[in-house]
Amino acid sequence: MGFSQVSTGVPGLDAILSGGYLKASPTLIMGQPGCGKTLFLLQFLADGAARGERSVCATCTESPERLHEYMGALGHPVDQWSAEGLFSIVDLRPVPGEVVTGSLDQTVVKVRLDAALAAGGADPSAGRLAIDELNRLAYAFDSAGVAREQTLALLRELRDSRITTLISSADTTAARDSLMDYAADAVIELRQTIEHRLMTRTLRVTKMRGVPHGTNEYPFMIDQQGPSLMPITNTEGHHRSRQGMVSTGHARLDPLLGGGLYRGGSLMITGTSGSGKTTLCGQLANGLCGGGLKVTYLTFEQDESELRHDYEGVGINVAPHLDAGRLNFVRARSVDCGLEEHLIRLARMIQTERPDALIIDAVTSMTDLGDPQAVKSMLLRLVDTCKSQGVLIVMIELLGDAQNSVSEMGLSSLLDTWIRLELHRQDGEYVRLVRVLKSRGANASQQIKEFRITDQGIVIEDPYVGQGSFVFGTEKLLREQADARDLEIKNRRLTRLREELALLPNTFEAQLAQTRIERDRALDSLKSEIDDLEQSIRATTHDARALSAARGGGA
Amino acid sequence: MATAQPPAGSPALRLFVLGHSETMRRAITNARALGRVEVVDVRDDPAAAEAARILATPTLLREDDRPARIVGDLRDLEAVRAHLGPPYDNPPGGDDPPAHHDR
Repeated sequence: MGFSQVSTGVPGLDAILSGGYLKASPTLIMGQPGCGKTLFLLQFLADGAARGERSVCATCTESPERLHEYMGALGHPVDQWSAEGLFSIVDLRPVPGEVVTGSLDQTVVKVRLDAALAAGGADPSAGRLAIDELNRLAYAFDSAGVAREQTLALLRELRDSRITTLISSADTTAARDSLMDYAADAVIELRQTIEHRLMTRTLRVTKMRGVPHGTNEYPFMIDQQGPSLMPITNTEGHHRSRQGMVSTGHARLDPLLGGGLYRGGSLMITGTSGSGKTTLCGQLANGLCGGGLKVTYLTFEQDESELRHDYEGVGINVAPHLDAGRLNFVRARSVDCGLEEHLIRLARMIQTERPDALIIDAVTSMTDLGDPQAVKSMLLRLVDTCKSQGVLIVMIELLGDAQNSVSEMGLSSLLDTWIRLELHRQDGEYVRLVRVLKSRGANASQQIKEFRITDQGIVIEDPYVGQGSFVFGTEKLLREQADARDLEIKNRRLTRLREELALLPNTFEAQLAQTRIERDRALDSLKSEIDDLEQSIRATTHDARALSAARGGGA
Repeated sequence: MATAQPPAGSPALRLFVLGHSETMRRAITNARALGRVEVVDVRDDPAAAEAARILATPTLLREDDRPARIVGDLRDLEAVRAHLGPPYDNPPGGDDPPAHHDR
């Protein structure tokens, strides 16, 4: 539509307004007292002054001195701007004791605003104007809170003069109706609610002529730097590649994960109390830092000195990384603020600190801050933010003892890698087990491994896998010893059988030779007897013929 | 210095107006009935309006040790006199007793 817009000076808000407040138009910010309206005004003016635009703040309740202080407290060089004429305050507070008799006209307000904007011969429409708590401007509203014709005329004139104006007003039904419908081209409503005893502030754009804008309720937070919204990050898809993989710095952990962890990936470490989650995270932090990465460790549970002490006790020496600024412990308390503010804080921290990896110990600390759906949604957006910034996010999930090792957060779809730590009870001991439940895009180990926390850090070992069952710990040792004995017996028997095998053919050969000899002997014996008999028979026959011949022939 | 009806050394009044509308003219006429008055058009002197924190016109200011501000066209001159207090609550004719308008 060709509406030009001006930046709001509030991080995250320009994106929701597709550029900023409407230029040359009044924008109305409505909300209950204390929800931060004035800060939106001051940031809008500061943004202008920082760009060299003349910025004028008109105040209907707060003293000019106080506003000046606020501006300074937000970190702006307000004294310098005032000296340079870039920032000035028009005091629209009523003087006490004024009485009214007869008709009046409030055009003088516009005259004063114009004069402030035009000081030094400037073009009023080139500047920025904010009017704080217009609803408190004397004579501007009737007793019911309806804007008088005078007020509407003022706003009309501001628009006719093409002055970019931001107006705040308390959220009364009457003021809302009269101002919203006629006076403002854009309306932003601020709301604050108490959820789970924590303050949650939200912003909603209810009207914005000619400009597409977000229509949701957007959470915002207020800190020393003023209000800010969840940054909308450009989601220029994160591409998985081997180059995008980083080593955990642990020789057994990398293969378990199929090579390492992806930049911009998400890792969840789930486990019950005492299963070694924090130690594993310390090992990871140390390993990632050792690979030259910058790691931010957000801890909800222990402070830095406690963690350092615990890590040193298991041989994880993080001191060099802390000194080198690669590792940064951040202590947070879940009850400091609501879910949404935690998210905004984290997103801002990521944008300012630019870590390569963010470790959150533990995300379950935030489950008390909202219903499961809200917590899941918050973590989803956190993972998205990390992904878009190429930040590896490592989350710890503490499982309750009654949960039977089942995650109740329903986060599986968010995760690239999911490691489960278990305490396995057998006989008289607990054994720590580690298992990769899921690892997108990596050839992770399917096997349950045993891991031990030693004074040299974490040691990951293969489990005993004989006899069709997994056995760990002391029982694993016993089984292995029994197996060794068993093996020795078998080996000995094998040797004996092999010897027998070698000897057996010889035995039979010898018997065969003997038999052959006996056969030959038997044959020889038979042959010689037959010969003897034949000779004997021939000799007998010859004798008989000779005898017959001697007797004179046959008779 | 002292010219008109109020007693000598009477405090100066300033009337802030904007333009020449019927309301402004009526206010000027009414204010002048009180005594010496300086008329300031805020369009000509916005800085004076800023310094005096004028939120509406006409506004009549009494700026001495008994300051008062009255917004409007001053149509109820008796109420105006009462609010301004001495010496303005004693009209120039001298007909009315000073205590005429005590609340």
